[in-house]
Amino acid sequence: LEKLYQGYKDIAKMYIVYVREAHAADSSWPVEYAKELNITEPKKYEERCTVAERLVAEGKLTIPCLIDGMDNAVNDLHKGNPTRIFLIRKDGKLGVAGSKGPFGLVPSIEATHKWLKEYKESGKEPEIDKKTTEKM
Amino acid sequence: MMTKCLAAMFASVVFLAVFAAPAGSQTQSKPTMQQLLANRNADDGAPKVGDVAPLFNLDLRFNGSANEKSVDLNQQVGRQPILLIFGSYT
Repeated sequence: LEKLYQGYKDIAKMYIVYVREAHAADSSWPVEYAKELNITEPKKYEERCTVAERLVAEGKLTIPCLIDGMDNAVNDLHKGNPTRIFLIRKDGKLGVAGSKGPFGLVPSIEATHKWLKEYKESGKEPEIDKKTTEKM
Repeated sequence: MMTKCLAAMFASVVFLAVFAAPAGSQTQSKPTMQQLLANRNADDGAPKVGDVAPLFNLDLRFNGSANEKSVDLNQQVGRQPILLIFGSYT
């Protein structure tokens, strides 16, 4: 994702939208590293920001990072959790709407990379292909 | 090619992190790998390609410019394509 950002930040805006934890240590489906790192589901907004800051720092990410509110409204609107990618065209419509992660992540990144590459090379946004998601 | 490799590596890490937990640590019934794979494209109400993107305004807390404290997508649509990457540490 960082590579994608570095490759296309001159032609597209990119944001991480940090949402509620998917597999926090205190969740019903925790991942091992969440227990080891003691990452529990934040109860307050600033706690969520602190975990996001850890991700950004430890992942050496330079992508601008937005933080969803504790009402999880933006996440719920997009069904973004656990991970998902969307690309908004200049006309406000979605050019890429990724499948649900983690399994949908790789094909979503590939579809996004293809879209951005075509846009960068041609200067024109690719046509909307409603079958894009089905191919992921 | 490099992007694909990195993406595959990232997905592998996520996959292992999710599924490599010891059997004893599993606290409740979880979907099987086959179910997750089969359901990744299931219609869960998420916006689809061609839909008008839901727009929002959120705080920009990290990696923004000094004078950019929040992002209002209403103000940004139309200038450049916008990529949104949803996720969390876990």
